[in-house]
Amino acid sequence: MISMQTKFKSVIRTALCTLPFFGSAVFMTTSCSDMLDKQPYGALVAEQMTEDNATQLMTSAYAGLYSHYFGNNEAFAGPSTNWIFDVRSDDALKGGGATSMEENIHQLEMSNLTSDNVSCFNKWQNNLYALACTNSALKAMMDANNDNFKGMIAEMQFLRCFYYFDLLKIFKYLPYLDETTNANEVRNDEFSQVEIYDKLLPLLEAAYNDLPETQASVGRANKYAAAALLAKMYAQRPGATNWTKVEEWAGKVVKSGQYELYEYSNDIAKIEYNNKKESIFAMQCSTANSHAFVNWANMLNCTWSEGNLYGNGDDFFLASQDLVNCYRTDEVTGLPLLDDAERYAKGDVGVSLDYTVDPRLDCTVGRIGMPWKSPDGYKQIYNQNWVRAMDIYGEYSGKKFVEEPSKSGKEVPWGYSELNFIFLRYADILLLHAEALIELGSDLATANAEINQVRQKAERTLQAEATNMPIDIDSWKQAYRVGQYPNDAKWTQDYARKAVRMERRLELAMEGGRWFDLVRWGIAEQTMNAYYSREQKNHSYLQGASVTAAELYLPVPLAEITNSNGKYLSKGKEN
Amino acid sequence: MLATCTLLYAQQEITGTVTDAMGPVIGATVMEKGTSNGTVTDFDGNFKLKVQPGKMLVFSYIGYQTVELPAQNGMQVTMKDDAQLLNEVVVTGYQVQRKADLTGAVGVMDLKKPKSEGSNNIVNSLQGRIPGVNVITDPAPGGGSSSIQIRGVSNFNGNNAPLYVIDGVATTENLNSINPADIETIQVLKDASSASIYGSRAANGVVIITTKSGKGGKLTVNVGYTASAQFVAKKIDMLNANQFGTLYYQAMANNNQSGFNSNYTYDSAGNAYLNQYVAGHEGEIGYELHDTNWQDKMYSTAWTHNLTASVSNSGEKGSMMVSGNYITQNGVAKYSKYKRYTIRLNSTYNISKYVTVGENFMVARWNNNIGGFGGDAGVAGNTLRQFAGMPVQQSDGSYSIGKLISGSDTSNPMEDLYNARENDSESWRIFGNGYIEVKPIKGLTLKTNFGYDHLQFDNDNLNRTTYANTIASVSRAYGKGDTWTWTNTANYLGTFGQHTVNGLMGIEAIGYDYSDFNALRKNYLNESYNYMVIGAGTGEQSNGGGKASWGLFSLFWKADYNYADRYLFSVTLRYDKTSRLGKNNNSGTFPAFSGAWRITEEKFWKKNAVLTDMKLRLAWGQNGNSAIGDYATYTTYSTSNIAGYDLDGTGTKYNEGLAVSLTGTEGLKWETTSQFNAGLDTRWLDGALGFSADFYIKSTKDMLTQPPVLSAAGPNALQWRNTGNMRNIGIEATLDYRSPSYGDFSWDGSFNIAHYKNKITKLNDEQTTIGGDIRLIEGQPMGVYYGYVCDGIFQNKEQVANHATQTGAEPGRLIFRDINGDGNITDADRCIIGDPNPDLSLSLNLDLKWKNFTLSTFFTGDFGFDVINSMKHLTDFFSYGNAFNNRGTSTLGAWTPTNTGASVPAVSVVDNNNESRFSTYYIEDGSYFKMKYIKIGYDVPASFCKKLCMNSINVFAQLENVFTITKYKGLDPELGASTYGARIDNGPYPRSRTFSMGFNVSL
Repeated sequence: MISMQTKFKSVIRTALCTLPFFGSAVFMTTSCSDMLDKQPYGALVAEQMTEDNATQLMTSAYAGLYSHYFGNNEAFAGPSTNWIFDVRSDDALKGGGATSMEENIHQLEMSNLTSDNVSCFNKWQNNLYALACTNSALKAMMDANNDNFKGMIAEMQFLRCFYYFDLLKIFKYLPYLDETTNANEVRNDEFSQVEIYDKLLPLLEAAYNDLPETQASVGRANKYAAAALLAKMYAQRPGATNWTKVEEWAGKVVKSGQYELYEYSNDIAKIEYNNKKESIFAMQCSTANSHAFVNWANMLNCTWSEGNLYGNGDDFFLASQDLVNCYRTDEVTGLPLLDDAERYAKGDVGVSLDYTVDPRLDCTVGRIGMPWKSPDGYKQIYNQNWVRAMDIYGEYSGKKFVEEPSKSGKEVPWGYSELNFIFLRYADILLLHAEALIELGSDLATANAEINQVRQKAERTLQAEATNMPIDIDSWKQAYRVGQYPNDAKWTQDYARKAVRMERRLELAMEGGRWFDLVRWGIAEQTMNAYYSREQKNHSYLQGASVTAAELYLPVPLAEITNSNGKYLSKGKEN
Repeated sequence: MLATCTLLYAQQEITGTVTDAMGPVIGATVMEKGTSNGTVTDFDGNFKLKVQPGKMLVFSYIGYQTVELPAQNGMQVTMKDDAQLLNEVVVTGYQVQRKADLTGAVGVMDLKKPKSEGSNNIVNSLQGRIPGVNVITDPAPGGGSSSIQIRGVSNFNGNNAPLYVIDGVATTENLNSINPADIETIQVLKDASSASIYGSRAANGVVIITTKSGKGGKLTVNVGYTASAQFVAKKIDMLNANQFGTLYYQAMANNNQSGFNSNYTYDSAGNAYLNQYVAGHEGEIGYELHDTNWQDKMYSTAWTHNLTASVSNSGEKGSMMVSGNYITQNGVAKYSKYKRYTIRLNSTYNISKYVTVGENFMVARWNNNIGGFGGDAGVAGNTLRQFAGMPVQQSDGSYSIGKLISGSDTSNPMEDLYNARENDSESWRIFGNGYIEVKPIKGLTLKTNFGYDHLQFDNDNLNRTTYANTIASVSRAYGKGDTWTWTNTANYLGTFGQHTVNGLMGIEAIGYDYSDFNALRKNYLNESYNYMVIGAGTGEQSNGGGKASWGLFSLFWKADYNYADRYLFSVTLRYDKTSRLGKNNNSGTFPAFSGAWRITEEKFWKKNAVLTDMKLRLAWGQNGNSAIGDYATYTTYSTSNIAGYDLDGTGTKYNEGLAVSLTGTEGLKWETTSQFNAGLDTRWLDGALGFSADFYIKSTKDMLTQPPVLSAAGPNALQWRNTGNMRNIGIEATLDYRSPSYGDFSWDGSFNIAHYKNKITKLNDEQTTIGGDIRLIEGQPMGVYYGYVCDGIFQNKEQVANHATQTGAEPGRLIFRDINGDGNITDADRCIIGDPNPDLSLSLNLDLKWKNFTLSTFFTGDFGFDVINSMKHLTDFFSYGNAFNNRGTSTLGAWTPTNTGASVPAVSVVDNNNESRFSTYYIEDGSYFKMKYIKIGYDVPASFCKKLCMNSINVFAQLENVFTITKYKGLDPELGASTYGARIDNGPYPRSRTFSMGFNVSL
């Protein structure tokens, strides 16, 4: 029997239990739209962007110089330092543990080019990403229609030309993009390389006018960065070179008085010279934020180092024997052996007191038995345990892009530091100026003096063996001699041309420029095929390598063609 | 409802009560036989019906045997559970239905069949159980990455996991936190008509899980314990140290290089003999060498202990079940482990005749440390490739260092695992729901259900220094995700004579919030576990974290109509609104229609014992998918490492930059999957034999994908877009048989078979092919392999000369086919060389019973799919990876001018022929057939149990992964799905053979 009270209680309970149904009806009708309106966290949506954010967009345009986007491999495989193009040239070998590691670079080395090569894709992508960021900043600044942005617009135009120039050196068929174009609709067969050069050059000349002589933020491009880039672009532009323009723009840098050569040849690898002396425009490396902003592009290239000095290393990017041999000098004059046959006849250069070499050799590569950036005495001697795959790639690990071990990180990325990588270096522009004078035939004497200025740096390095720290050269183990070219009757245009070309090789070795020099001189094919046949006695894997005229530029990446729905073709407009 | 009764002759109202063992049966149907005169019992099991006394009344209720009795006032009817029928009650979307009433394709997992006793993830036990439900089990401790795929893939955006509905609460999270012993039923809604009630989240099917509750009207205690030993099932044959030295010498010689190595002494024939020591660097002592089988060192027998206990009770006032589970599992790889604690409390309270309140609540915590497997530099890869002449440790106890001994940077995998031994990934899941169910009038049930799912992870990784090349660091990561689900439903079940209607309507809101943060700090004075907390670090530090959220609001309706159990119709409509799509397209409607005809219920069908039941089903429905980024419609800019730059040249700082972090697409709409299903269910021989078959066409359109974009569009330009279409056509069949008893012996068995064919009918407007080695190609199945065809090995110079120009070709090297016939081997010579989708899946279960013994076996297999055996790079080629990496014994039979029949090319340290290119050399048929389990169980006789005051005692022994029949040369072709569903063997956690013993006791 149920009492009335219990029954009442039951009714109350039941009634209470039905309340949530009413509650739910109220909630569902009132809160529904709130719960469906979700905005992203931790990011600005497009409508939140203001004029002031153009400054941050500019920063991201500069960030393209790191060529380090989402993974790490795109920085190795498509490096902004272009070391992989030294591997394409007669200066360098891929290195690492085996030919199969970073196989895409091995294929560049063998000139076995396929359109699905990862390096080909990464170089394309890294530069186009950087261009997209640059154009996006440029658009924001132009849309703002504010005079304050004038200088920054010029910087962005500079960067646009910088990234395009890198593409133009490597690829033949490119889409032409600016801040107004819809990147998804532009074809790659509308303009030839030369036509793109001719669109960019006036923009860069205009930027030169708007840029300041110096920038308070030293990482940003100034007037002379634009001038230096103009000189390089005029020199590289396919077809007959306008040497007058090269002379004019390189001359602006030389005559500015703002730059000078380093005291010593190994100063390039010293942090204290970041943005000093020879540095016109450089990748600004920083150890901030868990070394996200260090030179990832060269990060595979740290010597194997016995596993303790730099923690470790991957030992990619080693010099060829051919490059090392170029540093042999005449024991009397201290000049390089410009005659190829004479140089080949002398055999391979090793560590020896029997013949002389240019001291820049030991500032450029590690050699077994020689000091490696030793901060005191000869504590760090480069030995066989620093070498990863002696049998395959030999011993010549590059020195220019890594600080001495005590100033470098000891974990991945190996040997990292805030050492900048210089894209536009004064010695390069000075030698380019000399080259222009030689090609114009107008002032061989000045050209002679300018080349000798560079050689004097090598001389200073030799003279300061005991005081220049860290120590890279050792006269007890290696005989050195370096001398200057006399400005005499022998200094003809032909001889001077040979001299300046050799000087570029010696001074700028392992800095990513040699291949592009070979291409602009029109001698890439002959030089490389001769080199392959010589070098394979030291590196048997080079057997079978050859390069043809059709292989001077990398193919349009297959993935880009596939994704373009017919807008990109493997062949576009010829020059 | 009695108004429909128009019988004229004398009737009287009789009353009665329907009960079962537990009390009154509510809602039982009472019909006057052969008429449409009938009623339903009320909440006390009482009924009133105007009927002539003595007329036969038919009492029926879902899950009970139908009773026929003459009408009599005050009659007491007792209904009995029908074990057979009970089995066939299935939980479908927001409802319980008789299996006989189903019109869609619903698979029921028979939980009485043997499970993977050595595994704690129920998903591992689902493999092969239901046709069309493909499970790939993860052999690592915890099995957390096991995955389920229902009726093939429905899209290529990687979202092919089904929706799980646990006690009415939908979730997409892994099931590995659920204690398998807590699960009462598992149903799989395979087709769109059954799943469309879950609308936008159900395109990949729905798995419905119901957990146990107290029942049986008495207190029951269950205790179970299982101990399992795992053994590595198979190893790859690798070279020993002397064999390696000799072959390395040959490989170097083949490339005109000197292969002498200081680890070896050589005889005049070039045979290498491992030295006892290798010299160290100047002034340092040497290092010991001896032959090491790294796989034997890394993998050893591992034990799992699994203890479960539960207490349950039920009665008039309600029911409860409380359970606990503790499992600790060591992996076969050293230091890998998994540990889980789960508790559960399920209860119901009958507040009054009209109201029931209940809840299901679970807390689980699990910890694991698995180590990094997969890829060349993963633990398995390093185990294979580490130099065989290097001991694990030197005699002073220090770990050997490859770099000093063999000049290779392959890390010592034992040292890696040892250093990571205290790493810990801890997860918690709190999952539960509370509900109130009100039955205000007959047949109507109102229910409000609130579910909450809290998941969090807390990872602690200690990176200790090894050989001076790392800086010690501690990294921590913490994140949590919370989902709340509020569901309100009204369900009306009414019988009007021969007509039964079942109507459902509901309203549901789901909200999700996620946040995480992580931190890293370097440099620790001491590297002991106790010291290495993040705050004790003195060096560089970094941190990160973010948030995300989404919401979903839905309305749904369903109506079922059943005429005389003969004709069944069902209509479903779901309306969903999501926060993930743009404001203008954020709603979608997903309809479904289905019908079934039970031919055997027709009057013209003569009842017979041969074909006792036959049902034809036909269904069509739609589902959606919006499992895309939470903010796919927004274009956003953010600061990040890709945007920052040190403009000021400080060397130690940087300026923040802004770059596009997400490119939004306006006007995104749902991806829609339509599915047509035709099915046949039959039972023969008085129900002993059953055969069911389903045919389906599953088409996805407006698929949400992120098509590749041009680099020119800039970083993060990928956009979610409605693009492609895809189609699966498949067929599934099940045959089951339960034998009569032959004395003490009986047997039963079931056989499943499934086949589907996948085809990409459209990719997007711009592309017809996407991907590199693994591709999406219009007109092809998803994830086909695209590469070169390898035609064996060049035997002589003549053959090389006659072949198309192939850089690096020479005798002993692989031949690649000139597909386009242009006389040059280029990337244009690639073609489709494999397909990861199986042509056929089948499974077989056999249970033999003799007296109190049961012997169960279970076989499963997939046929006609291709595996990318990526491990062949490492085992077959001296040119792959580091020079001094060990290789497989396959290289012992490598090509030489005198061993021309070889399948492995000549040993070589360089790869001028580019043999690492993706070719058929790496593709193998993955077809396999496995004896998954064999289990013997024994039920201790009841009389003996009684003496021990117990209800039942069951003891068992089980062997899992007994054998595999396959032509596949790698370890195991059963591999998780990679990009676009590809099956890539890149050195996953090795699968073990497991022997388990245990008991279950009930008292």
